[in-house]
Amino acid sequence: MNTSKIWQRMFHTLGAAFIGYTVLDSSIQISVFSGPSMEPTIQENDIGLVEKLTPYKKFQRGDIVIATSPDNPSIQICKRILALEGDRITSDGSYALWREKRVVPRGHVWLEGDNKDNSTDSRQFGAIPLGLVHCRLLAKISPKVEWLATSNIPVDSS
Amino acid sequence: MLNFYWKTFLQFTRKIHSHIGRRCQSTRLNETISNSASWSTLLMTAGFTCCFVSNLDDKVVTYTMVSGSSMQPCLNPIGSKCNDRVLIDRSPKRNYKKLKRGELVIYRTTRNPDEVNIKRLVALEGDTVTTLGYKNRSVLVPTGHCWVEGDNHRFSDDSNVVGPVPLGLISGRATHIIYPPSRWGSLCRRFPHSRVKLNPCEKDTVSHLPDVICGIS
Repeated sequence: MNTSKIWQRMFHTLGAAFIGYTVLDSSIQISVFSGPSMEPTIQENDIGLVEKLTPYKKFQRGDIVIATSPDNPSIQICKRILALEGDRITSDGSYALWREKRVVPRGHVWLEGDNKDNSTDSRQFGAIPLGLVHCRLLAKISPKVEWLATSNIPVDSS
Repeated sequence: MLNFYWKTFLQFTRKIHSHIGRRCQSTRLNETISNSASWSTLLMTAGFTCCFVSNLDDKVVTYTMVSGSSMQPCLNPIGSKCNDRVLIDRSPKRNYKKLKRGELVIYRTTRNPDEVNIKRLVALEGDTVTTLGYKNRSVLVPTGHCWVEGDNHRFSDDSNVVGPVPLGLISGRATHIIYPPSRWGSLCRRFPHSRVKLNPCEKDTVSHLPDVICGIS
């Protein structure tokens, strides 16, 4: 085999790998979860498939999403969207503002973990801007493959 | 912006294509084989360049056009007749601790996640800000948040309107003006010394900074 063909093959392989990586990386991600705040839906060390393609307007109540924490930008949190902008919140929490103003502001969402007793979420830090939310959980891969449908949890805020 | 990328991509692929093409010809393959090989190489180069530029744009450096008058006189001093283009450094996305007070940052707005604003970062967590028109006269910036202000206060939709902004919304730092050529240059840090009291745990790194020049409405 002559050298220029080898160069071409190498270039094609590297090019395809790079293109494949970019396309995949901008659309999906495999994440490992830790912490008890989404039990029983997500346990410690579960692995899930998340997608990054949903536009901000298309998030729905019941979606499990990964967002940057408003208290610490280096940490990602995984919670469920319970309410979108304009919805009324009825849950109590230590975030004092929500006792007076109970409507989710424009451009924000209300997140709560499924494990209500052991979750730091919007009941503590309030509704978060949608700009902090990056990805939506599609399915769990480990310990067993489970497709996670949205809105399978009763939403208690109108 | 797309125009700029398209031209760069065309130049780059032409160079690579002619380089690879020369190598193919030198092995004396017959015409049809060398043609199809060049086509696939051209497509591969095109795809590679697009992905490379997209990765660069998202993770390293990009540029954007500034619209609006909220940062006058620093940016867009003559308004929409000639919008400034600024160079954006994406390193704050990887490490938020490197953000410094007084820099210009771009961030997704809290009220509309599809909109990106450019303002000056004047205070970080723990600082106390005396606000201009906010519902509270004085605000202690909470953890994980920052306070951004436009230099032209009267026409600025910034923290004085919506409150502290979470650091996670910041997607880059504007370092230089790259267009128009008459305004080429780096953007310097400025700090409103009279209205921001630093976090007491912070070592003082802002006393040498010039004051903010406020816009003339």
